[in-house]
Amino acid sequence: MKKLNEMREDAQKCLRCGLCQVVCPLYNALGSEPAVARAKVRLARELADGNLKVTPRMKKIMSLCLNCKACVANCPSQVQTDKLVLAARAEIKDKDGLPFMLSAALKQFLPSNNLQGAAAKASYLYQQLGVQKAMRGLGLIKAVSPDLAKMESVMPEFAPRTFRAELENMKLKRGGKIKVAYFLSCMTNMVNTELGKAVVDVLERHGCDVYIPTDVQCCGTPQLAYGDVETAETLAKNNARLLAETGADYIVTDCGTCGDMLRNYEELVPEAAGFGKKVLDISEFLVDVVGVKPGDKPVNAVVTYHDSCHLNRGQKVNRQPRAILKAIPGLTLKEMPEADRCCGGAGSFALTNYDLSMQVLDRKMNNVKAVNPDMLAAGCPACKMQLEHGVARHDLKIPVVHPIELLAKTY
Amino acid sequence: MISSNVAEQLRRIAGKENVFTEPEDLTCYSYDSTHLSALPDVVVAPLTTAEISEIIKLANAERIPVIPRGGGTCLSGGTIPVAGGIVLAMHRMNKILEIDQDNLTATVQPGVITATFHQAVEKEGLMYPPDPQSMFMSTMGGNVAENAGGPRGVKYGVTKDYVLGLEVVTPTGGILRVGGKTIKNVSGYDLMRLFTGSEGTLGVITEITVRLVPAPEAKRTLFALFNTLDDAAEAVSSIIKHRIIPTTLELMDHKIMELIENFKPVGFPMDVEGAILIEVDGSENDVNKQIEKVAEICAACRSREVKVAKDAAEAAQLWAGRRSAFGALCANSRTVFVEDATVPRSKVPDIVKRIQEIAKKYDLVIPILGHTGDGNMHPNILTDERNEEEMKRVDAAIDEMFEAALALGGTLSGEHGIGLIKQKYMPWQFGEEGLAFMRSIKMAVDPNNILNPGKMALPEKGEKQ
Repeated sequence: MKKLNEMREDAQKCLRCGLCQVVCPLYNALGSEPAVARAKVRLARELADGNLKVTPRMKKIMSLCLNCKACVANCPSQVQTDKLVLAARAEIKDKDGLPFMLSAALKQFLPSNNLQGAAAKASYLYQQLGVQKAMRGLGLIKAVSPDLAKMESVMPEFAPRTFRAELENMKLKRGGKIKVAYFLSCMTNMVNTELGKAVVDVLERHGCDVYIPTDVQCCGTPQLAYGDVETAETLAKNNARLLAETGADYIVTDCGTCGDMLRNYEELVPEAAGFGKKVLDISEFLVDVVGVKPGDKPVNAVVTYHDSCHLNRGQKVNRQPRAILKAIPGLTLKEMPEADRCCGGAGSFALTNYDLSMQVLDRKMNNVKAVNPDMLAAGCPACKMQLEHGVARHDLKIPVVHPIELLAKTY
Repeated sequence: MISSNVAEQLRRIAGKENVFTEPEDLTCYSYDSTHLSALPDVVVAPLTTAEISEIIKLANAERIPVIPRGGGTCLSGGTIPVAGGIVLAMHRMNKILEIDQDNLTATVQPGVITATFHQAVEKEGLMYPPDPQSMFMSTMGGNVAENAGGPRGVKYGVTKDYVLGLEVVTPTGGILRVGGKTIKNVSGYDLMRLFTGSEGTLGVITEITVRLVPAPEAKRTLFALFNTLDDAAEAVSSIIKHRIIPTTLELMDHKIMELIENFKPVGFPMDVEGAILIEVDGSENDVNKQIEKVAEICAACRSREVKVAKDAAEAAQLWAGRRSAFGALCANSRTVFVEDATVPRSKVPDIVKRIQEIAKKYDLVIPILGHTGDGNMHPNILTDERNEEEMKRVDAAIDEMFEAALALGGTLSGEHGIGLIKQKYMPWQFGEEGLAFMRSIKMAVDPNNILNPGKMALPEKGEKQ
């Protein structure tokens, strides 16, 4: 990945016109200049030039970015603020290191499939045995720490068995026309195992042989987001190798963020040259490569679709998930206002900046409410987690689903 | 540097979470949309008029400059703290206080984003006409301080034509209310006009009451193409001469249309030298009559083709093209100087000719566009601030452009203001007498030269009359 001092030229391209103010969700919430893209571009430039140093304030300001890329899409000078912020975070991490717990999460926990399995099991038990209910009901967590209580409230509902464990009993079909490698995301593995099954089912129904290398690890986004380029590079190298070794014609993902990351592996490591071209979002693969063929069973529902930032602006995939939804018998797609605005989840941002994240989420949920849907669809499990929190927070009682899960229901 | 005692007092006034002294924050408030910058000593984000009054009194006691700042999208360097001091970041004062449907007025705090205000009044079937291109980022307070204009200026005028009342904190910390909700008001000096366009040098605007107008019943868009830019410019003047006042009347040359088409294609033709884009509004009947007349006038000015947008979607497409002009310029150039010299409407063909000559003389790329219906030109100089030799030619070209505008009976700035960038031209327009008069006003109300010093050719920090 390019280092901050190699991106000086890019930072200098900013003409400070302020058009990023219009679309930045955090600037819209806070109104203060440090929140907005052009300020971060300026700070990145001063940091690269040595006029400013790595300080707690610099760290704080650089952490206030959802990496939603709305500023990039709206920038007349095409400044890559998302990449500048990541490079600045890498610079900060190099100078300052990471806190022990965070480092452990990024380097040990997320990349370890065994630890993920154990943690998912523990979380599942915590939720199923009534411990969570008891803790929440008695206000125990809140009593210890209100911040911890907020973090606990955004915790997703874990699956009883990880998708990796489920895979041991699944028989993947062979004899199809197209070889597809399916990248198993952390969220599908630990939380949305039903999505994993739906993806496999749908791909097989479209004449594909599905290969799932179970040794793939976390895609590297959380590491990169915290400036841990080294770990991200190791993960990229490994994942690209494992997926390429399947000999598949296409590599599909069901997570907007993972897909965006995989497509850009070659910017991280030279070993992944040419890899990105093979990566497609599942909806893109179905609509643009094989032609989506839904079943006959109707899904009688009004559905609205949320564009995940990394799927829409990251991978330029926005037409295909809608095409799938529209092809489902009985389903009415109703567009919400500002469908392409960030939900405020942004990985761990909802944990580290809960109140601010909720301000961004509330605007999203008000847009959802405006079209009064039966279901809310999103092509990214990370958004799903945040949107489910929003549904509960706004007392909406509508499910949040991946378009592929709905498609699978038609067979 | 301000003393820790001053910082402490500011924290007491505005709350410690609203006072920023770290270099990272100061950097964020050091620039606007120009290429210039300077660091303030402290940034304060006040919430009330009373807080601002206290801050200004403190600044007078300590002789520290104060610079009010809205969206920071100024195109003349007006909010750059050249003498350091306190930047007042106005974003927390962002409430629309009232939309008065009986009086057709609205009252807002200065930090309200202009476009947010537009949407709020349009929901009620009303309209607030001033529409600077930066309206999605600019604030109402900034618009009043800069007397902002916009494309709709041709028919509807500019910010000063809508301000009915203001609450202002004076340079010495007093709180003043002028005007109100009345349409007519001749009591005393017209202080509203004095504050409007004062670029933060005479007071901090803390509340604004504006006049609203009913939203028009119908709108139509016409796009006329010309084989020469001179013919297009003549059509602009001719439309006005024939007493048609469109809502907007924009002139574009070949270069800018080419840049827009390469940036975001909207179907602008590549084989014409000039074009005008016109919107008229009014009653259904009136709109059709105006469009017919405009088409006739364009034909008389040798237009090659006149297209009337079939529907709102087609009109929106054309205007989207015009609006992406700035993006297209930025995408093609490292540095863009957006100028706004303005001339009487009959002189549009003359200034267009002069700008073309100047571009040729100094070997510069200067695409021409502008809200020409009100004589407001936007010649945009595409350059690279790192190229010293070219920057010298740019400076010389800008000098000559202003000279030309003034010689035609025009003005240095139609809507961007003087700020830092155009100070050196002020004597050309006002002469010693005019400048001395303005300086007298400034020094009389701001004896310690606290508010936004070093701008508009007024005294620098510490300078005495």
